[in-house]
Amino acid sequence: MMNGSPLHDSNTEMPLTALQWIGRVMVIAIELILAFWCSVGGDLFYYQGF
Amino acid sequence: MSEFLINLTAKRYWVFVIAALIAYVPLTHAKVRPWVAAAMNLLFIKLYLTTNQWVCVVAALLAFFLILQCVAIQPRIRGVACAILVLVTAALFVLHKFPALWFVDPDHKVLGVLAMLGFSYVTLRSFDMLRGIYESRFPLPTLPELTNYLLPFHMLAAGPIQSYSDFQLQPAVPEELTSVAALRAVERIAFGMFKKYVLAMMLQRTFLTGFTTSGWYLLWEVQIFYIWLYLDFSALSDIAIGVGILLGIATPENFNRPYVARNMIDFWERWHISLSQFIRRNIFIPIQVSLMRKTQGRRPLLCASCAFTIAFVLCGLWHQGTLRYLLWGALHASGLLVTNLYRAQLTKYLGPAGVKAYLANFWIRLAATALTFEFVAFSLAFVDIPLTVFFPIGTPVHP
Repeated sequence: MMNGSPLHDSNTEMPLTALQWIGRVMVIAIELILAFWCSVGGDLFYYQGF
Repeated sequence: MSEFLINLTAKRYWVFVIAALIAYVPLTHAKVRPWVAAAMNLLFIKLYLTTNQWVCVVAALLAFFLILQCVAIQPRIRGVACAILVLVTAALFVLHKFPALWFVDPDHKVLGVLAMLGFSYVTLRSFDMLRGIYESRFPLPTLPELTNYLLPFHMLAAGPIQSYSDFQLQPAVPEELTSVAALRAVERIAFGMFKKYVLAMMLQRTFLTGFTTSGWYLLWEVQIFYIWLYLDFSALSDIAIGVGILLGIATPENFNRPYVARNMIDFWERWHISLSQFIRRNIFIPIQVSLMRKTQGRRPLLCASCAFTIAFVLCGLWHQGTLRYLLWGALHASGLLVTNLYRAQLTKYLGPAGVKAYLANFWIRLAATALTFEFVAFSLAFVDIPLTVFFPIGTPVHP
């Protein structure tokens, strides 16, 4: 029995509407922009701590 | 982990991934794909090593392959060939993991290569494969299969550890990637990047002091350290799985919400899943079966307890060859032992219906989850906490 992550099951995939596509692509873009910005020293969260 | 050497935000990593997708995904010829994948994996390593180091890795891979080919010519030497490969791999692993031995390679020429390859993971993959070959469960790998299984570029940073069985079972040419599946894979990668470089980094910068504080803040830091480690580590698996889906290479899941585990057995079915499955099939089950045979099945709890202890002490030493990690492994073994014994006692005194009601009780579940969370958090902090916390040598440092 395979324990790997199933690559994908095209039989169970629901098609997405255009709005869903746009929304999900925007989320991806925001996550990647924030990740790359923070990794080069961008300070998203400036907090003094306790 | 070679994640310290493979920078996932570096341009060269993502340029390589995109180039690999363009070159590899459109291929549909079952005989060509493994060779292109092998070239891809070796080219990736070349980005991080000097030419001499890279030539040594390729030579080592060829030597590994040729020793296995001797088995094809003379099947009677299967055991000897596998033993030689296990011993050499184990020797390199011990050099890689035990700081006390690093004087052997003062310039870190070999150690640098081992670190880049994520040799801890290569070791486990090697053992899994060699065991399967020794037991004749699998045919001998071809050279590209050997390369692709031992050195998959997208799993070099920090796993997951794909089993050799899963590697052999995956289709030579995967089903065509649909647009929705590709979107999900990219979502997985993006979320992994966000978890690591935004969430985990935020926690680290805001709350973590390297356990240089004292008092109540130290307890708070222990909790945050666990959450930070989960975010940081699971992010690497998310990225690897997402890239694997895009490439059409089955990559195992590695985390399943470990923070909701209700006991230590449940925890290890949710945390670093590929490692715990490796431990179970290659260490725990063989030891337990052997002990059950020796005791004729009369002492199942004792057999399981011994198997847990050996397996998790080795797990601790696999992380690092230091006393602290050995004790960490022993601590987790004790958690697993207690869980197993408690389960046995519950079944004995409550019966199956009582156990079912016990497990369904919300408050018991909440308490069990909290206790498991704290046990794991303190055990993880234990390997990182400076010894001055236990043996103060001056005024404690306040944030």
